[in-house]
Amino acid sequence: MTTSAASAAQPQPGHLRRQIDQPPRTLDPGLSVDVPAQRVLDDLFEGLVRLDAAGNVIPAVARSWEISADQLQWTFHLQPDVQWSDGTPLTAADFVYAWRRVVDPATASQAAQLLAPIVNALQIASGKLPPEQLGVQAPDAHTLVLRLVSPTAWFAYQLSNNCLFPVPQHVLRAHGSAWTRPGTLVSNGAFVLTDLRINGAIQLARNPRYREAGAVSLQRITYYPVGDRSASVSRYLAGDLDVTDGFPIEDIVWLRQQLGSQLQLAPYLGTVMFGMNHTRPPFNSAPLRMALNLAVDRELLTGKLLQGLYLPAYSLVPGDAQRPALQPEWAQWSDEQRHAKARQLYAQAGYSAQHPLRVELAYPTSGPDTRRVLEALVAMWQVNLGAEVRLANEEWRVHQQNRLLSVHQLFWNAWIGDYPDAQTFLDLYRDGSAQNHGKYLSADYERLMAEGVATGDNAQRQRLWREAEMQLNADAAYIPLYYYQSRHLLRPWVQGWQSNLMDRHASRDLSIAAGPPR
Amino acid sequence: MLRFIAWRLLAALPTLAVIITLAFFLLHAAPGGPFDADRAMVPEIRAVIEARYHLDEPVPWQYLRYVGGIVRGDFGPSFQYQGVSVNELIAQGLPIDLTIGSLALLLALLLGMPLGMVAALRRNSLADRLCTGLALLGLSLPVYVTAPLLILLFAVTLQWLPAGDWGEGAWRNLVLPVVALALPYVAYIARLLRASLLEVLQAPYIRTAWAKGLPASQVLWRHALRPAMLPVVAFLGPAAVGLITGSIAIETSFGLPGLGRFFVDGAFNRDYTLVMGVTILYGVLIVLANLLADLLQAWLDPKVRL
Repeated sequence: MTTSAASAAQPQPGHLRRQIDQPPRTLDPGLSVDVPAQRVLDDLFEGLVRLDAAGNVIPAVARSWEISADQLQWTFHLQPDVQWSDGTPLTAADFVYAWRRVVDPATASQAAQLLAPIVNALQIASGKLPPEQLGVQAPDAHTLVLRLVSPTAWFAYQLSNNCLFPVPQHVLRAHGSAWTRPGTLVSNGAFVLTDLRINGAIQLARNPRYREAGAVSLQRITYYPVGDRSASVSRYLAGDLDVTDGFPIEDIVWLRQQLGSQLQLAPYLGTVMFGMNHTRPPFNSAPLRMALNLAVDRELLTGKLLQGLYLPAYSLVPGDAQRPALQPEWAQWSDEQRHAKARQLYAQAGYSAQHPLRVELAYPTSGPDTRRVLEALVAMWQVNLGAEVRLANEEWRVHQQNRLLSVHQLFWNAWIGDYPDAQTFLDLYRDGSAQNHGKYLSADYERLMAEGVATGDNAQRQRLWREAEMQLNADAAYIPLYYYQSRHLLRPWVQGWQSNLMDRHASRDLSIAAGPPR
Repeated sequence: MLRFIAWRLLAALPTLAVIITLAFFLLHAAPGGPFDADRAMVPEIRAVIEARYHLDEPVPWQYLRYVGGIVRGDFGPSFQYQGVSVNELIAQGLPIDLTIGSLALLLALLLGMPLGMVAALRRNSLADRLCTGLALLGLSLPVYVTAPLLILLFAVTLQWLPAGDWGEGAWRNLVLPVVALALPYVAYIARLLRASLLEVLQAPYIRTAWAKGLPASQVLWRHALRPAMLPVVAFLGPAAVGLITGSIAIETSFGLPGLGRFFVDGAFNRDYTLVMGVTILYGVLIVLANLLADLLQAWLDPKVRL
């Protein structure tokens, strides 16, 4: 019915219309921690480095940098004449000001934690040191010296994140917390804010003072917050959107038929798993944890149920081009072999048909994707082991709180990596981590992680991360289910789009093809 | 009449006080707070944030502080949208709901009244059955069914109208949400008017009017319609409120930045001040709309004197 309609949609020359899931809570780069805001901020601001279309870290405001032999001191050389959108010169002092501001308790930024690798960041955030003690200095207007607590190779990526963007101190001083409004927001990225309605459209226009303004093709960007995925598909089909940030799973077959290559599906740095409380029965029993883990048929989940929109996960860290995801030995086993081993471990843990495992699985209210997966999982455990798992739905905030308080025995858990390195996942299971909801504890694991953090040799560190992850797998610290994939609908006239693991697509790298769509 | 209005407004104050108190304590009793997130926060920073929003104080103190703010007309800062006050959010969202709601009410009257009249005058005819059938359909189909259907037909397939967005109130953006919101009310008004008009048409004074040989148009317009309008007018109060507050599904389907979405998102995110602000506003609107409907009714019905 809508094939003709879908192809009747027309591009608007120079104007890109993008969807975001939620309205940004703030456009203050130092305060923002949500993904929708990150999309907009990637267009408005620019840090020392940025990501190219493929997701590689490349120089931006910094034209080059050196890292000391011990890898603890990074010296950045800034481009000579970068300007804020109001014409004020942007200097290294703007970075120093911005970063101190993020960790200053008076700012009360939820992003403060993300600066933890910088010397003294956490001590400042907890009020033990003044912000001036942060390990960052501007010896002159175009040099920035950064000192890190430990060798942190992935910090180069972190520098492209909004929490480390510079902010215009002259504007903040003049307008206070109202500085992010249209009319007062001054930025240094490829685009400037022209209009914003909370929960409504956000309008951006090309920034003529951007340091590479000549390389920017688009004149206007509009971001529409559309929370309902079906609504975003309608808006796309009606020709009101050029890019969506998703589509519902129910529509996948129809969309594939109708839109073909306009569906963009690519690996994304996120894992869905179940957590278990390791300190209390029943999940203080390693054989039981492993039995439940082995009884899950992942290919069935991701293939039949999730229509290939997710990738089966046998371990914690999603793979990428350099580093394929870990696969434990049993991932290659036949279903029968795996189920037999699961039953054996289940019996070993003391359960049987007469004395089955009875436990509640807590999960937050979210899309229908979750519910149908959970019902299938309960059925798998029932059939393969005889375990009786009951589903307990909790409203999102309630679930979050219960998880932080380690109330649950068996619970839904998903994690999106902060940066493309295994550490962002492995840190979850460290002793004392606030995200270690199941209170996993292993001396071997702690030792491997501590060595990994301390070493200056990145190859060695990656080897240690692998070993640490294998330790988690051997202990069945979690039940991995599947890896996320980013999903977009993308009009053929949008050019320059490349899939990348962090799913970030700055509009400066995109353009709208002139002439009729192919 | 002024005394009546003043009395009604005064009587509404205790009602509002109860609403405010109940809503405040229920909201704060819900588990989870506005600043709980997947990523745990540095405890000291959490403390600063909580102190900034006075969340570290005992709930009764927070309540008093909040009530003090309302008295000064200050609904406080939004927890969810940093640096934005609830007053600003309401100022942004309310005009959108008022626009959509009043246009929908107008449309409902413009369509519902003729439908109801035709149905009553041509009772049991094909036209009547068609009208009642349509009205029943309009009543039984919830907005979250009609809205996507309208979008599918007029935006996706025919591509006549946009599938969503406020578009700064351009008429093209208003058509579908207004129609989707009005449909059940068209049906309701048509049915109400049909029923009451049928009853009025049986009344002795109408028989007298016919007997005097008055033309049909005069019987209908001068004598029958005014009393028959009473139930419709009585319904206008709740309808106006329903149209303004009940547009949450419409706002979601069409991506409109109105109050309804603030309210729902606010509740999920434990944005206490935002939810409270919208709740109080809805309470005031209900009081005002009912008052207005009562005044209209008094004007129409000689038996009601204020």
